[in-house]
Amino acid sequence: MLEPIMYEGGVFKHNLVIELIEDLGGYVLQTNYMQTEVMIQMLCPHEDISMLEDLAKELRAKITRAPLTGTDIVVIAPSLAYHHLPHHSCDLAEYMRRFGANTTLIGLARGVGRRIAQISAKERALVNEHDLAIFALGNFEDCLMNEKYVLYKDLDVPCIITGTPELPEPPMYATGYVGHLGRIAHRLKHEGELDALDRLVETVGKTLDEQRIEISKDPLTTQPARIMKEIKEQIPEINKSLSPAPITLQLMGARVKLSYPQYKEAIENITFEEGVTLREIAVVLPSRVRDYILIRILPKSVTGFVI
Amino acid sequence: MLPLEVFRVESPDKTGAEAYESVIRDVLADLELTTVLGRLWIHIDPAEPVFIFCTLIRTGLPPICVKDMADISTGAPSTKQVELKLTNEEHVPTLLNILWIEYGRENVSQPEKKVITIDTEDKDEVRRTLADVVIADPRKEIESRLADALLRITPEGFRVRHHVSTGSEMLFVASEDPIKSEWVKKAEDMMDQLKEDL
Repeated sequence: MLEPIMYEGGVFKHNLVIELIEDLGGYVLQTNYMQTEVMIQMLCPHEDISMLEDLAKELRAKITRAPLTGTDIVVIAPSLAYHHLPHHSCDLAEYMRRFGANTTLIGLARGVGRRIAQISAKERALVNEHDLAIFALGNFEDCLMNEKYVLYKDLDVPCIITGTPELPEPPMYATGYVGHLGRIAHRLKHEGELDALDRLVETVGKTLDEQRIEISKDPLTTQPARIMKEIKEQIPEINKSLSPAPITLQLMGARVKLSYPQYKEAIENITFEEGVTLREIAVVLPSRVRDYILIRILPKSVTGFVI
Repeated sequence: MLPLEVFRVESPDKTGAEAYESVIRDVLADLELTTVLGRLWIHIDPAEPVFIFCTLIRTGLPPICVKDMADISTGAPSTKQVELKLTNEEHVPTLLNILWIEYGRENVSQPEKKVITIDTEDKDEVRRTLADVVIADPRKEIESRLADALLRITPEGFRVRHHVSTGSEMLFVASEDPIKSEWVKKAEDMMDQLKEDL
């Protein structure tokens, strides 16, 4: 099993870490350079973590388990108005990123109000493309419990709700709920707010771990990280993408930031060293995000093998 | 009336009311309205659903006229000019814009930093009318900021609105359903109570 790990240290000799991970059969997902510092998100085989820890100790770097690494989370605000942005929703999205997630922030067209709140089919399809949705809702218990569920009741992905009151159990149709994160018009920097953000990360991490266990019951034909590696090697155009994460990993596939009409064939023809092509083990779909490509890996029960 | 001497946020949902109070404080601080409002009383009932906002505005600064920022003279009898000697440079860009529109760019010049001249045939008339031209009105600016604050504070879905605004008070009722007369009545009662002991 591969463990999601975050490495934070100096740039000096960080290539040793990348080499070690590749030698161990793990994957480097993202490398961010910040002047003399580097942050590497990676997947490392569970049994070899001690080797990585030894190397990190030698290089005076910090290694942490980042449960959200390799996941694609969408943070949803009821609208893009001042009421919900920038502080509250953006801080949620940013905090998730610190724990390794790739986050997207969207505002619904008509998500505001109580009776009038709604989500369109297009928005629903967009949210369903992600691994998990976080709904940044408001202050009043009555709205959270009795009205706002229409926004997420028909979604296929797990939904975590945030709001002000402390609720004994999540509102109906929601997977989880985190209190003390309702409508806030300042940067989330007070002690209680940071604690609430930590609780949110914990809830999200737990939900994603449950998803991982669910997936492992019928394992995917290959790891999403392996598809990422093959795309990087076989489609050099991906390196020209200006996006910070040209390939966004998800629990069951990836979103590739290349044009679907132009690169669908190339993606489907990616060949693995076992001799199979990507079209045999995954479905390549158009993403709802611009004209990007969405890859959904088929499980073992469909393909009959695991590579 | 002291700044925010009354600040009341009420709701059947106590936790919600506390959180809302924090939102209101942030919005008022962001828009620099804390010293502008004297008394503020907000009532929110999400179950109805209704949002009522009553406030008393502290009397602010009077409008700034040309005579408040410059000495106006007609100079020597032979010249066909009105001369403004600036005593306060804060609103000069606005003043220049107004002069350009009124007298034409070619007739307005600024030979020195603190002197503006206007070429005109009827200098006495210009001198008289110019003195009371309003250059900036802080109250108007406050009104627009207050309207902005109201829109930021009101729950976003509450788009059916009723408001009564005078220079010194503002009453605002919002909901997502048609406004009921009992809500307006309640708002008026709240406003009357706010005005007590003034």
